[in-house]
Amino acid sequence: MQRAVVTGLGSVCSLGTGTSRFWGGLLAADTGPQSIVDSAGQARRAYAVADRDGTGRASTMAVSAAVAALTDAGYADGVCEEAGVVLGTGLGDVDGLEHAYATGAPAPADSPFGVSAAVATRIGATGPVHTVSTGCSAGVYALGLGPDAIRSGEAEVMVVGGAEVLSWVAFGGLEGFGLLDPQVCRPFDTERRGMLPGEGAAVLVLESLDRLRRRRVRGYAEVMGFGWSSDGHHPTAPEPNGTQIRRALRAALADADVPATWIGAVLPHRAGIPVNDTVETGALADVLGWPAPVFATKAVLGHTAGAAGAFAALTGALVLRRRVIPPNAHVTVVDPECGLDVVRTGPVPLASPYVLISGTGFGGNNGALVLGGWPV
Amino acid sequence: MTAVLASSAVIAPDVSTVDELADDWFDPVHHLGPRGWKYLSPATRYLLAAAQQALTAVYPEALPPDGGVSIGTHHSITELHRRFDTVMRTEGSRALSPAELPSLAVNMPASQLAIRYRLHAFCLTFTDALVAGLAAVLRAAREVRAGRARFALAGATEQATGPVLPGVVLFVVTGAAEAPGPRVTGGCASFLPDSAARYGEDPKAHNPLAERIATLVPAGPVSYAYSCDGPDRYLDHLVRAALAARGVEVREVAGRGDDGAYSTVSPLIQLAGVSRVPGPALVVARSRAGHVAAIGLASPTASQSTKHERVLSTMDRTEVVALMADVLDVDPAKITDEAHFINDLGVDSLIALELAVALERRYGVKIADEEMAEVRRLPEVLALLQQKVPA
Repeated sequence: MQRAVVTGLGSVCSLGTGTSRFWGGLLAADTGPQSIVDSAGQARRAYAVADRDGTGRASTMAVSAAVAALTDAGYADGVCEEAGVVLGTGLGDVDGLEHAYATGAPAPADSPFGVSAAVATRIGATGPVHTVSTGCSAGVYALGLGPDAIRSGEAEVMVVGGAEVLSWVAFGGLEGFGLLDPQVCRPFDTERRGMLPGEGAAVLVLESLDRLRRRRVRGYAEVMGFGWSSDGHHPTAPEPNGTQIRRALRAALADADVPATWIGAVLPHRAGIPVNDTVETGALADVLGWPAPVFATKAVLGHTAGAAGAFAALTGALVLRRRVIPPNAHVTVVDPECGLDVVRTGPVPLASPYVLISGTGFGGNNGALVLGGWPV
Repeated sequence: MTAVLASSAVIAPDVSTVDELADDWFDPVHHLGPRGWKYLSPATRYLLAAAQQALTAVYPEALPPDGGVSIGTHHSITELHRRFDTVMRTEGSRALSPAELPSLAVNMPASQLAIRYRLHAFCLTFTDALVAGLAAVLRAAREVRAGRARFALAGATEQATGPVLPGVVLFVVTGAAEAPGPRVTGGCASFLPDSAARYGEDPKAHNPLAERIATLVPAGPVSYAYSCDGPDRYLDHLVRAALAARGVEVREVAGRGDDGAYSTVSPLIQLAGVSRVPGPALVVARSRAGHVAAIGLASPTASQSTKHERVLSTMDRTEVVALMADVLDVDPAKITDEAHFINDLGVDSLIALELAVALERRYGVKIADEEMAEVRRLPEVLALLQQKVPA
């Protein structure tokens, strides 16, 4: 069975374009949401990218991140014919529709779900191309489907990740559900009141071990295992016991053949929604059996929905390369119910080169990943 | 472990353009009862109705554990999103219906299926143009083969949007030991944005993708269906050439779906069609954007196909229903797949005997009393007949 190794990274988000700006933003741990006006003229707080020109930006950002990731992996001009593509997205290029409805311009005729096709076309991919839309865990699922294609021999290179653009309709929906924090996304703070949306694209290039050796390129990390489960419980609320989240986490650890005590850092879904955070972190603490160090990206990145799991994987690859865990931003008083070690100052050294990533989403789609360090 | 398509349900209007589409083509009360669907999106309602049909045929009693869901859709939230957008901009977000809001998540049709049937193995939604349903079925087959699920509900659902016709196709994918059905022999996914430019104009030229697709079926007669949501049939020509080179004799399968009018449901209408024909089958789809997906099937021989409606054509089924309605003295509309003979149709031992005699006369077969005693619903009658009537 072929192993899947991360050989390239690309990122576009509110922290800036490129992985060095992304990592710098994680270490600085001081950014928050900006004020931004929606299509109905209402002021919103969100983690928006700086360049918001044009529409179809989920695709634009995904293409930009994919080209950067392939270039990072050593593919000139970001072209790789042998590659397949799996990207996660919740709403795709929905910004084009919302812009058209607000301005009276003709609405795009195509469905917003053309993100993977846009990336595949730009990079010249001829492998399997899929868009996975399992809500807010879509990025984690993309990071499971990609290695599966490499393991099975279906493809040698997979360009995987996620992309999400701010949607004003989704914003209104989250407000309707009472899921927005009025100030800042602060997943580990006891005063947290909800999430705040973000946007961006994170892309990772995965290659088979054979190909990596043939090309003599460096790896960042290995995707060692993944696990899936479905709550089958409620459209929006998590199953309160976290039974299925536990099952996905255990499946990922078993698939990776990594004992829970080896995990050096946990990158949870944790978005600042009190009940969801408590259920997920409870499951993590239970499966691990010890208070492992934990870091969540959403305090400085916002909740990038279908891209969130891809940003967690990007973070995991960088944590494994740099051997440190960044500090969590926006924590005044740590949530007393969080049974994991919330890193608050740092960065702190990574004690063991294995990272556990968890993703959950509306509808109860749970996913988990285990990444392992790669010799530099 | 091998994965089979144990049953299929197809619900789609028999029209060719949206202009011909009647508003009431799908009656939720008929499929789902008077309550419980009010806040579900149309694509979700279609999917739940199809699940009821497809599951009854394979698991008439309780569902086994370890079920998964794998669904494709490309257009199921566009209309909903437009409506929510209008409400948001004109009345503000407070005016959005909280009960309806979850439907904005494109994974909600699959998730509602997981919730309704307590399916915990996995719940996947693919959203690529045209091929997402085929990709969903292939993924389900792979998960069943790998032992990560005992069975999976796999298919596609679409709401009418712009020129796209609505509809749903859903398969029960399970292991060969679990239920009979055509076996998924393999699949293939690829991307071919501009086929002619990439591979040249000569259809006889060496084409690795077409050759890979052709290896999904054995030499000899094969039922073949191709769909594309654009004008380009280039891949179709290449695949036919590769099949001919391998000694495959293509049997055309006439039917809807080849123009992609039902979006991701289209290739699955074709798949449902070929899955009911004995012998190997190949379904290939290529989206205008460039996605390619192909799936190969090997149908069991007629004698293996004992449990479900497969060889009997739609016309045969109508004929059986008419005969039963006459014998049972009920309205033919009451003889549905779900209607229980004793509980719903008032069949007693005498009427059952009467029915056995009528079936024996009409189809020239012999039905034992104990065989008739085990029959409780229409699909079982059809299965019994199929077992007995020579193909």
